[in-house]
Amino acid sequence: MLQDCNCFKTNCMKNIFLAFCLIICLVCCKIATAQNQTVKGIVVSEDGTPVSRVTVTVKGTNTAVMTNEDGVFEILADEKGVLVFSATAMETQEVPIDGRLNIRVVLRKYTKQLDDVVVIGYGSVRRRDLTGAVATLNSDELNNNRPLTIQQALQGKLAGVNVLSNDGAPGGGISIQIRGANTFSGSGEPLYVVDGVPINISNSSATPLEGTVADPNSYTKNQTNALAFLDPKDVESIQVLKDASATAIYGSRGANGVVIITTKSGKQGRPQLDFSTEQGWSHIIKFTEVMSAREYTQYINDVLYWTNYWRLYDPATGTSSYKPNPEDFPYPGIFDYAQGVYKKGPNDYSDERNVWQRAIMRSGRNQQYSIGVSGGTANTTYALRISRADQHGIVDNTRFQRNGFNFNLNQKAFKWLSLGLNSNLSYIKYNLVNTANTNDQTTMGLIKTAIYARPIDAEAPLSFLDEGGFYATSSPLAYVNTPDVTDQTSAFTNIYGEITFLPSLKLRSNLGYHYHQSQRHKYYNSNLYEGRHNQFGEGYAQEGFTRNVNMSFENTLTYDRHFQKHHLNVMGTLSMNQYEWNNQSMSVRGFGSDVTQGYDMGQAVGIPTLSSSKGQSNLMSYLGRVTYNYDNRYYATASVRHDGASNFAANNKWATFSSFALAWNAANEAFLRDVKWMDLFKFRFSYGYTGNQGIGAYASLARLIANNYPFEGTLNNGFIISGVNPGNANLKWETTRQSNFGVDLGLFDSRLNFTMDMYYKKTYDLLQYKSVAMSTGVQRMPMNIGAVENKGLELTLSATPIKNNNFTWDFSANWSTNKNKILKFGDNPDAQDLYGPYRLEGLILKEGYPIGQLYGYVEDGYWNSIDEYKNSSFYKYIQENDPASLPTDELIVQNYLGEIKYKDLNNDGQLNEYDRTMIGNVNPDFIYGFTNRFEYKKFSLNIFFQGVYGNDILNATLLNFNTTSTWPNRPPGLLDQAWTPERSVSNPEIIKYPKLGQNLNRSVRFSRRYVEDGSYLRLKNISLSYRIDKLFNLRDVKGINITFNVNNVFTITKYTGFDPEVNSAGSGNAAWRGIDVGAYPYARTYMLAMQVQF
Amino acid sequence: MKKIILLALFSALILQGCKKFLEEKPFDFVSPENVYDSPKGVKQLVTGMYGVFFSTNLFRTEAWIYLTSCDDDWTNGLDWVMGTYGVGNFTGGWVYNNSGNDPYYVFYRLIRATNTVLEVLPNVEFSAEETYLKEQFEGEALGLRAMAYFYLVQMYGPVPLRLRSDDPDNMPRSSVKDVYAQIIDDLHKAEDKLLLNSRRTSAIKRGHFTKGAAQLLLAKVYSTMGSGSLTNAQISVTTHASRTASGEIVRTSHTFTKNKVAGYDFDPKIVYDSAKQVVTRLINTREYELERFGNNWNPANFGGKDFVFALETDSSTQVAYTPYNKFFTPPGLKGAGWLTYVKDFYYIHDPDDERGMYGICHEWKSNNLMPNGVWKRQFFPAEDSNKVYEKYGKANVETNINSNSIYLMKWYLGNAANPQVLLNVNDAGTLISTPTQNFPLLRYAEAYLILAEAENELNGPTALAYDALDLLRSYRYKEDAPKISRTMTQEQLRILYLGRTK
Repeated sequence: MLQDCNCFKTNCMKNIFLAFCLIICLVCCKIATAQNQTVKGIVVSEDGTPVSRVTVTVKGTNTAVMTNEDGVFEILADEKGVLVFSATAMETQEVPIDGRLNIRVVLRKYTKQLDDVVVIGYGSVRRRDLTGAVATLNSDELNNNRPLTIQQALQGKLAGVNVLSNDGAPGGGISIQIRGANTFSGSGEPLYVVDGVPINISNSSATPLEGTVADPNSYTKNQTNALAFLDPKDVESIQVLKDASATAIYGSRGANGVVIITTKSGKQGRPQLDFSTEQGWSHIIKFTEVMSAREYTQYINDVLYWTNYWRLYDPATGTSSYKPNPEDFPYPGIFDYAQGVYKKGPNDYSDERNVWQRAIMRSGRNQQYSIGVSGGTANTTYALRISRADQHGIVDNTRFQRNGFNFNLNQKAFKWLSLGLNSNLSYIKYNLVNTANTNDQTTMGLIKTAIYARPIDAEAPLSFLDEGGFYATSSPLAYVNTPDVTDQTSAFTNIYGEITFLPSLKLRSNLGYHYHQSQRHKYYNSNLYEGRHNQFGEGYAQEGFTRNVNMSFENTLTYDRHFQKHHLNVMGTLSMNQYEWNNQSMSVRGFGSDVTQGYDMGQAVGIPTLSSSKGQSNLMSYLGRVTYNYDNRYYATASVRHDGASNFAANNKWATFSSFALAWNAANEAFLRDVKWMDLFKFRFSYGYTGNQGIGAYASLARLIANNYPFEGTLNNGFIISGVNPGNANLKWETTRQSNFGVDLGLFDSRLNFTMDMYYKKTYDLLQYKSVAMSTGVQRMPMNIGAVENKGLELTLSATPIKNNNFTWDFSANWSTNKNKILKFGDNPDAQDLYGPYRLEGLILKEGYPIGQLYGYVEDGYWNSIDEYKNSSFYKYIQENDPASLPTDELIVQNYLGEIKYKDLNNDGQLNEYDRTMIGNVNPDFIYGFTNRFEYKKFSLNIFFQGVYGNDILNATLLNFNTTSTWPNRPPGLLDQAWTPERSVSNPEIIKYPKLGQNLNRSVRFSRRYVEDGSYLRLKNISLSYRIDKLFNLRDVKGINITFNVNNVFTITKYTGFDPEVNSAGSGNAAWRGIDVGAYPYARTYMLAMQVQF
Repeated sequence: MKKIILLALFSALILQGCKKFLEEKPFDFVSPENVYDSPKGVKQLVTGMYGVFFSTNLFRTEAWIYLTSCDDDWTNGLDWVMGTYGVGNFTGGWVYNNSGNDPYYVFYRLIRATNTVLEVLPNVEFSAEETYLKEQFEGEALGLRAMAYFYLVQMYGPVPLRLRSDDPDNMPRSSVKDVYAQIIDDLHKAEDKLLLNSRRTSAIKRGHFTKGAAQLLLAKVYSTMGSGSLTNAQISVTTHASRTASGEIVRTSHTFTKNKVAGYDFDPKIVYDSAKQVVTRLINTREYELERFGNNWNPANFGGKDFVFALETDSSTQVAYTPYNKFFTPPGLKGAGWLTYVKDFYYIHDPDDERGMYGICHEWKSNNLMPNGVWKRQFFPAEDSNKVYEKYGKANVETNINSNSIYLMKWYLGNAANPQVLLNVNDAGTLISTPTQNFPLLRYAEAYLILAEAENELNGPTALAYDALDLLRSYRYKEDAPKISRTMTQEQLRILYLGRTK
């Protein structure tokens, strides 16, 4: 082969990694091979129209040309040669020349999907030969809505794949859950595999998790999107492995599903250069509605009025003797003659609502640029892309910047050896704000402060708002000017070599390396609450550094042979993986000046807090798979993986995971073979075991912790066993057993494809930190207890209802449902309240109920009169059991009248924790997405809807609206929907809030009031493109694509918060999904994109 | 062939060192293997046992509950705590087996640490000159284990008896009798193995459990068993006290009939006899000395005098972090001031009683009630102010402030006779520094109380009992303080030791 192109061999072998040489080389090749006869021809489509831009190559050589506008080509080729015709969205065709000088070729439109090659981990198969449940997304589908990160692109596109944005921050983290939650302890994130290399980085929110006073270093943990380093434009395809047959090959890491990402490689043919640019603008869609300054002042007046009203309320007459006079109100709107000043009244204040939210929001600006070149010869292909993305968030001073470089190279060095490289370098910079991920009042965070801050302070300087009993927090505007910068550097390489021993026997060696480091700097200046209130001085700086290094080495031997009607594929792999991480963080208070923004930590007077950690986990595996297919009718697959993991406990170092699958394609049976419109009618069944290493490194090892003691006044080192990690040498992985039944249907030349999958998953030996008897001297330890099941149904449909010369309509839709249930919780079958990171009761883990079950009190209207309370069972209970503590009429007025009435569910006359019940479920009934794509001449229109139905959201933002002691801003409805004696008689149906007043003895109980329906249907993306094939007769410009794109066009939902897509905490723990604590809001984005191809 | 060699090479590369590859190597924490096998490690485990005392949930915050309520009826505190622990209900509130936030857990944590030491010790080789440490450490572990079980059995009655660190999760409770049997067994063994206080070495610094501590604890255990087993015994308790205008103290007492404590099926005669024997052994060693009350808090007296076993402190575990601060010390002295005396109780002390003078804080500054954070001097009670200042070496006090309702703080922070005085004489009520102050868990004075108690219960109010109490009095009052009247009955004498009049 190489003899044809001597110049390539001599010039380029030495410089194999320099892509530019390849271009030069191509030119050389053209000259060198110009010795044969000229073959002319025309390429037409099935309907006879000429097809331009078809790459025509002489098979086995580097000679390639393209068809022109009229579909005509001219190429030098040997008369016995074979021409290869390939074009985007067309089926590749090989045509022998047979001495002809003029050739007419009919190219068929690509029968999409069925003949796609699907990467399934340690191998690939044609889609029509799949035996497992694998969902695929190609580059075009991926990039339709111009996503910044991979996961954004997956949302709503694949059945059974639930994508949850952690928040709306630029480049923010996203969680993916495949076929329901399997685990209580870990995040339940799938395994990501990029170009064959498993990625080992946590994939949490880009926004900072706030630390606590006890653990200030938790401030500096850098948790960002693990896959942000990859530009979706560099991605060729994404495969999501869902059933056991597909995932068991990843053994102890497969239980949560596997996402396989393949980056773009070059294709044989002339170099293709493309340049693309995107310019976008984003805006907030919706505010969390709070009062305007006028309403707020009115509200304060009302509260004071009602406070006095209740103070002078006479229970006997049911009226109050309170006579209001203007001096009682802070906002009377009168001229004070004594002081000679006009005191502002409510009507003197602004009518604009949500002023603080407006103050911190702005229009965000996005820009993306990328330039790429790709191409190749018969022996060498390459693809190179440089890109830059810069997205400003809608909250002031938030920004995501990524500079990326992606380079893929494949070289056939000898007849028996191929070599290649996939590499990616990226540098990411996040500018973050302190968005709330905690319900701790002392660390409110920006978004919550902007919701709760009093609107009358809008003109206040950039300082505190803690006067008047308000939260200990600072002005939202002060927060947005707080530097909080994270830099991430990622270097990814995968080098492979493939040896072909025999045509049917190949050995492939992969060496993957991923280096990822992240550094976060944060400074709270002396004007901020966090920066001021401390005995160690003003200004608080934090610096955190994280480094992850992941190496994998895999050797795969594949035997693949067709004989007669049999097709046998046997694969065996040895795999080693090493993952190492370390973190350092430091923080200090007490800076002389804010000028240096904490970059001079040595100057600070406070005592620095230092911490660091380091760890390593190793995995070594033997795995194999046998695939057999008879006559494309009967299929069988069996796979096994034997994993040895350092994470596993000493007595359980090795585990085996296996699966099998059977499939039958009825369409190829004799009785259906004549049905021409049926391409595929396949039944699949699979069964197998996978594991979850969520165990975490070192979880099984006993730890000693320092326990020092000062003998004779001098501290001595002492050790004691940890109270939570006393060691458990029998700790195991979680095991998931899954069965799957599926049907695939391909009709009318693949113009209609339908896939249905049903599955049942049971995960057992769940890893949990369980409380042990306190008398053991330890509190908790990791144990394998409990089981959870997931069962579901997934439907995918794609169709091309109309396809003619000028107009094409493609439609695709997916729908999936999953039911999750805890089968066994452990030794303690009782419910376990989850307080979580927000100190919220409300979520519960209980046998027979799903993970994400909401638990609370049931409301029963309001106490409308004193007598109503006196006639209640609560009053009777006290009368009978503790008459000394019977509330007086005055106390009933203060504590009950006009307050929320809760149901005494167990009828014991008391209201306590035993009166709680199941009040909601954060898991959706089903999720769905559908896309319509229209092509008319050179226009194409893409409309993508996505939705979730039947889930509840715990809206924690509302909880803070119900306290009585502080003065945060409130929802406007409080003014005319609060309980009053008149309303309780005249129109009780409008009452939505308990009575107003200060010093009320109100305890906020978690009830359905704080739970909202989270269902939504969203027009996620609409994009319109126009294609220009020619520009001013410029020869090299092959096409220009102009796209106008809108993301988050509208959302139909009843949810009252910023956005129904909430997952502030669930990224770290599957049991904490569906909580809204005021996360970064989502934006609507308008984008104009242009792509020029050369 | 070449290819096969290549393949074999690959395989060989991978298979090699496979076992080691899967071993987990901790980098950022210490695991037992790193510690359990060396003399140095054992010393660290021994230190770790004592470190439990400084757990947030043991003597760092709530210790006063166990220290005083198991021992003493005279404490007063906030209603919400005293309503449960104060009446002896240790299962109330958050203090029972539901979190790491309770004494039940922390004492078991101490027990696990002692069990670990006992299990590790036999496998460790000490050098020739340190061989004695093996015995000593074993004695310390046994002594501390007994101490933990002694607190547990007093607070919770029957409790699981865990004698190994790997005992199963679901262990049943053992009877009170069995727990006491174990405590006594451990303490007898400890007594044999431990060094005398005077024979301590540089490796066994002050703060380690010693022979004397084991003896005193054992005597205390026996006398507790004895008093718990007494049936139908008459006990008089002083319930109120006031002072007349002339300074004369008027006390009101009430006589109760004491019933047997559940599970305490011991023969009082036998256990009291044991108590008397042990305490006599202790006194005969002449290892400890009685000290005047006010001098006890002088660091020079921390070792070898009245403090037989005390919680040690240093600058990192200084007063701000100990129970002194959290509970005994008034807010103006950086404390939280939860544990208080009422005026009615203050008058129980004779005016000459140093415990009233030095055991109670009379003056402090408080900003509690004042607006704008201005500190206010508070003093109580006014009639003793000059006398107190005389003791402190300062005359002409501006007495002022406060009604009868103000609480007095229990005060352990030193006195005028002590050069380490902590009160700032120039600005009364503030601390000069944040000093280290040991906190006694076993005091020598108790030996004489136990002696008097055992003798009184065995033989009635004999000269031995009277002499023991008179000896204690001579260290509390003026040296020529009048002796106790020799005409008291057995019941009347009980008031003097059941009140734990230390």
